[in-house]
Amino acid sequence: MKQRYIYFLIVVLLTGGCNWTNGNKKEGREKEISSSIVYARWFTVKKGDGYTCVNVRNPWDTTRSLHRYVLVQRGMDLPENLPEGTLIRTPLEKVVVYSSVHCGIMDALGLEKVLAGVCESRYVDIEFVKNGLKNGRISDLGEASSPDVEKIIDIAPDAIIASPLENMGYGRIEKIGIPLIESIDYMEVTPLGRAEWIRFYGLFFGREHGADSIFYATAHSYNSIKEIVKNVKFKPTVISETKSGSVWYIPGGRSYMANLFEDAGANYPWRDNRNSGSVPVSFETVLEFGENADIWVMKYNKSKDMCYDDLKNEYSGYEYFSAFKKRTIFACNTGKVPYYEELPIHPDYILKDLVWVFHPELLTGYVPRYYKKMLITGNE
Amino acid sequence: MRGRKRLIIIIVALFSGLLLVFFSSMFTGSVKIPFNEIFRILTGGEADKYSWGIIILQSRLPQAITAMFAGAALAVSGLMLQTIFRNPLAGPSILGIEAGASLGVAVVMLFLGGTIGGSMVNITITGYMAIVIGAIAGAALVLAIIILFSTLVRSNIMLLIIGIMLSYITSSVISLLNYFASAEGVFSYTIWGMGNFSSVSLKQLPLFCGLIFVGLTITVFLVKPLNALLLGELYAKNLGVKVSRVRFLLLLSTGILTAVSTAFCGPVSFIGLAVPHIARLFIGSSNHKILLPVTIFTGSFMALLCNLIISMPTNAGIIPLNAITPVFGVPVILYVIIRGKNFQ
Repeated sequence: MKQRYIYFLIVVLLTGGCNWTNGNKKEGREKEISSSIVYARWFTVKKGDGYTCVNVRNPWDTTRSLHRYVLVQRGMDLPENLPEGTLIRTPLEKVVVYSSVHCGIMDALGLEKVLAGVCESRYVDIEFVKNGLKNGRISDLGEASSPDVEKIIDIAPDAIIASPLENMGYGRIEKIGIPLIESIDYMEVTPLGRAEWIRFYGLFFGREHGADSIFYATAHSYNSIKEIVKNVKFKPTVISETKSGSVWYIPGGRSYMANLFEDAGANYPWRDNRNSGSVPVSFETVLEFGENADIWVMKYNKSKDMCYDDLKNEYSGYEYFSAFKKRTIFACNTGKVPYYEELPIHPDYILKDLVWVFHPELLTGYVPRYYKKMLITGNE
Repeated sequence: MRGRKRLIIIIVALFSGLLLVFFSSMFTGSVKIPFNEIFRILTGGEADKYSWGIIILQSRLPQAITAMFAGAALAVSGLMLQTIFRNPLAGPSILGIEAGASLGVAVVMLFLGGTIGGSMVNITITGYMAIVIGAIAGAALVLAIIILFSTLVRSNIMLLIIGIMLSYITSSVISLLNYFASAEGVFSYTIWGMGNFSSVSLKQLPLFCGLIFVGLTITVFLVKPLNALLLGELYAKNLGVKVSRVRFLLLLSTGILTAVSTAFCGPVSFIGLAVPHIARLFIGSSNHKILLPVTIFTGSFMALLCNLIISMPTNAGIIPLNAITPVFGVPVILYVIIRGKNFQ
């Protein structure tokens, strides 16, 4: 009798074990697909039977989801037992976007015909958008903070690609029944994490493969540039940006820029800071930590490139930095180069520039794309 | 006699308070510098660390002096305007001069891209001085319009309305400029609008303080006629006050004071509006002979105190100046409104 019990127990354990492994396998299949998102932190993808579930996490409250989208191919019957979420029929055929960043993504994915409207068009420096605005094929929808609702209703897009801010609603746009694609790509703190968002958009436009190949090329290029500086012995200390008003906004220790500095082989004095955005600090703090920094990188938007005297005229305290005295300031004039337009998709370009700034000997003959040595005098 | 004694106590208290906050601001900041080091730096010695000397002499000292002068300028211009318009809510922003300065800055920052000059003229000015020049030009333009109108309209209320209307027009131009500007331009303009005492460098200090000194000197000559004006315009005329001349000098001095402080420090809110009331509460009188110096000291004290608070080390970084000034300004204004009767 005892033996029978033991036998029974073994059978139960075995079958239970089998069931358990089966379940694991099933989950594993879903995981396999969702884990193909490598670097991005704020979205996940799960493929189900006849649908794709895209979940955007809430960066301001990580216990919650910001928005879940259920993508079903156009013309297909809706599968039974669809998970909860905003139903989107893919590929989207007509969309409006809020920012120039998303215009850049549309451009990269070859979706010129899909874009029907854009906010704040004056910031967009992309040929097809400018032409479209000129000939009326693309509408200007005004400010992203309060877009022209009537025009959007008139366009009747399949979806609106918007960038949410913390605790800010979308106003009337939320109530007109057009799905909002909430893109928080700008909240990603790693360069490749942000670049990976192109795969998110690829899913909505039926350009999965195109987006994947763009991203993998970027990731490959980024990682191979990172490899160049892997074994450098000397890591120069870097400070960045300038004072505006009474504050100096420095990139936080966990921010996008701090990660870029690290990957480019530099030492950033605020790496210990736990902030992932910009931190407002006083001039004296920057001087105390960065007085002896080897290199100073900054961005500005001016019609004319700045020289050292211009910088000193802006605030005389700048001249006490060692990088000012040694003339090792590198600047990017964002009014003249497409820095912000290319950054979301091509962090590898910026990384390469920074490697050139920090370790010029490793990239001899390289012509930088964005950063230049600051002009010694204004007459150059 | 008792009144005199009280006045002396108030002035001594204010002066010591002023010294106290001034020296506290030398010791307060996000970088910790030992007491004896600060003392050595201030007395002309060498600091242990190179950066400490620069922090004290190039950052904290000019910032504290700027705050003192800007506070005095704004408070006095508020006092002058409250007296002439017989309105407790008048302040440096009421005549549109501040708005004019803001417009000048908006044109320089948002329209000209931060540079004055270019290929047409040989001189190009960029950076902070370009902003200062823009602000002074804008303020001077509005001031000229106001003075022109002041010769045409006799009523001060009408003049007040004209000033407010001018503010509306300038703000609408500023919104338009903002609309077409680059994102960075809008950002720097917004930051400028938050006020700050830290941009005046040691080299620019003599110019800044000199201009404010000129403005304050003019107001000293206005003490007597202003006292007469407190009793009403007709009464003042009977006493032999040349009202139109006083009005001109008053507009000129408040114009200079507001324009210079706004140009160098951005629009600093509430100090000009609240300080004259605090001064009146202190001395319990509207006699400008006493009110003017007390207002100057109180203005300097308040501005330095606000400067001290924003310089205190916090985890969140630096707080903008205009986030602090209303904390002191609003309770005073509310008190004045509730007490109501006590203006004049």
